[in-house]
Order: sequence, then C-alpha cells, then structure tokens
Amino acid sequence: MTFKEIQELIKLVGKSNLTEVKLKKKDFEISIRTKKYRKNMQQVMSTTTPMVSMAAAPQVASAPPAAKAEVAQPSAPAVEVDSTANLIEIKSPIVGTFYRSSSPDKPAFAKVGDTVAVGDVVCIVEAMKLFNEIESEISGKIVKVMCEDASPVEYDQVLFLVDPKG
Amino acid sequence: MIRRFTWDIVYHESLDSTNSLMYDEVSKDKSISEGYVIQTGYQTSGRGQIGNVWESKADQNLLCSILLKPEITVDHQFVISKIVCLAIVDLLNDYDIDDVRIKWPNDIYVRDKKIAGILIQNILQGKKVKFSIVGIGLNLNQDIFDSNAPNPISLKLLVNKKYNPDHLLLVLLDKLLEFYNKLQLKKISEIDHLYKFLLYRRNQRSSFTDINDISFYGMIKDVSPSGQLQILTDDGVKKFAFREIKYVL
Repeated sequence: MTFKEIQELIKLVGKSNLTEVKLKKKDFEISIRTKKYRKNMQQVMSTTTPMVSMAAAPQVASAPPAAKAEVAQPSAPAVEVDSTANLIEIKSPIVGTFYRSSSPDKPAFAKVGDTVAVGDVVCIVEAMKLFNEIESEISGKIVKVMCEDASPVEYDQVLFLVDPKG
Repeated sequence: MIRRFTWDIVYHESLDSTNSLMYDEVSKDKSISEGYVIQTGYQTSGRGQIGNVWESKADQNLLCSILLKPEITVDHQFVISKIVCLAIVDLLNDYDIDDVRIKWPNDIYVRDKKIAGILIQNILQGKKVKFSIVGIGLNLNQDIFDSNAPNPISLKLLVNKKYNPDHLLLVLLDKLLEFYNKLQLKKISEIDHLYKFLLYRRNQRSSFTDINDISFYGMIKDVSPSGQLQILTDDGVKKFAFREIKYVL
C-alpha cells in the first residue's frame, strides 16, 4: 500500500463515524483512532455505575414489546427429558429447513452413535437464508436423528434424541 | 445503549471462503470480539446458499465477513439481514448508483442485475443469537463474469471507474455501524420501513413460481417480522418462506 493510499484511508476514517479501525495486511499493520474514540472512552469512564446496572438486566429494559414474552423466560431450554426412555430431545428453536451438514459434500455434524458435548454444533436450521448453527446444550450420545436432511422443520420440532448417559 | 467496539480488519490474499475461516476462528475462540473482520482478495470457494458458489476474481471485489454479537433472540434474526442490506444500499447510493433495490431475502440489485450478495451464519445458544457472521460479496471492478451466475453487474460496469476494496470496506463498515446502532437502540420500525420501501419489485405485478413450480402473478407488499415475503395474489395476501417461492426474472 502506498503512502497516498494510507492517507486516503485515514481521511475516510476521519470523515466517518468509526472510532477505531485496525487493518492488518501481509506487509504492514495500521491502527487508526479518531477524536471520537477518546470521547467515547470518556463517556464510558464517566458512566461506569449505570453501565453496571445495565449489565445486570441487559435486554429486559430495552426490548421491543414483541420480544417481552421471550425475555421473560430467556433460558427456556430447547431440551426436554423424555421420561419413558430417559432420552433428551434437541428441538428446533425456529421454523426453517434442517441441514445435517454445512454443505452437501461435507460430513454430517452429528450421526447416530456420535457423542456430543455442550456447545458442539449438531445441525443447521436455515430460515430466510440465514443459516443458524444449532449447538447442543447437553452432552450425551445421539440415539436418533428425527428429521431428513434438507427437510422443513417447525418451531420446537424434535431434531435429535440424545442419551445423556451415553 | 450502544456498545462500542473496534473494527479489527485482517486481510488474506486468498481464502476458501471468509465465512468458513471466521466460523473456524469463532469455534476455536468463543471470546473473540465483535467487529472482527476477515477480508480477502480472492475466494476459491466463496459460498452463496448451501452448495452455490460466489464467483470473484483476485482483488477486484469487496469480499469480507464481519463478526457481530447482536443480542437478539433467534425469532428476530431477520433484522440482521435487513440492516446489512440497508448498509449496502446506502453505500451504493453514496457512489451515485440509483435504482438500488433489495431482492428478498438478501441480494442487492441495481435495476435487474445483481451487484452484491450476503450470506449470514448465526451461532445460537439456546434461543439467543450468540454470534452473527455476516459474509458480503460486492462486485467492484470485475468486467467479465465467466460463470452462469444470473445477471451480475459491478460498480465499475455501472460508473466506468475503478475502486479500492479497502476504501469501500471502510465505507461499508461505517454504514453498517449506523444501522447496527439503530438496531441496538431498538429503532426497529425505522429499519422495517426502509427495508420495505427498498424491496425489489415492490408494488409491481410480477410473475413467480411456487414450491410446486406453478407460476402465478402477484405484487410484493412487505416482509413479515420473521422475514417471509408477503405477496398480494388474486387470492389475497400470502406469505412465503425462502425456497417456497422463486422470482421469474
């Protein structure tokens, strides 16, 4: 990158509302901070107390009306214990299309017999072309895959049965 | 309350796909900050929707993935797609391109040609969107498109001028920040209105085909809160999910 191009970058950041930008290329690194950055930092410093109280109740105070019901029970688990067989269900959090792998030529995220841990991706549910990677909230062994690859799924539809003792 | 963060851009000469690398990096380090941006000059297997390939020649286009932590529940996920579309339209308007429209759900069109595509991957924790990986491909200086991708166009083909991808990225991040701040300030109706008015073929009687390949006429009116396309047909307003409907171009 030439000196002129770097000047152009700095000018662009100066004109924008961006406060801090870092750019890393093969042969150089540049970090640009604007006056706004310092102003923001001062604001953060001087509002430490309200920040803390905001953090304690992050979404409830400012959520739109439509989201309130959701927020009231934010940790409603997507898993439920099947009392008959002691299996746990992994359910779809959204209406969409169920995918077992990230693309047709890739292996499935989770197959019958696989052991999954908390945080492991088990599938993708696509909705309106947003691809949602579903993480397991439980650990155990996949006993059954309840949906066909690339098939439509409903909200709360069971996707996998997991044996927590597996 | 607006959270502040640094845009941290890392450029790679060539990558399989910026989204795939971002996904791998996030999987390895869940403490990664929002505002992290992966940019590349060339994608060997850029991803459109599952299985499709986004074509781009070396250093001619803006190709990047941006990491956000939008703090919304998954039922509100479509708003992420909206703010990204609005940022790109706003950017193109600044470069004197008129007639920019959003071809639902997430392509950007200039008249009847595609100039940009978006691929968003969310990582969910329960019902919360923990990370949103926003992949953007914007055609800048490319003159020739080899593949059979439908109707591509670039900024250069429109204005006969070349652009530096690094500069465009900064402008894009500035625009995205503006709309991301609106989201954080819960100015949702403002976002919804803008998106609605920019919908491609809105209020124009057009031809579509449904999931059974049966063609019909209708007029796009809006999108539902969950992102379904609302079309006024001869039988009243119907809602369609992605894959349930195709535009006849």
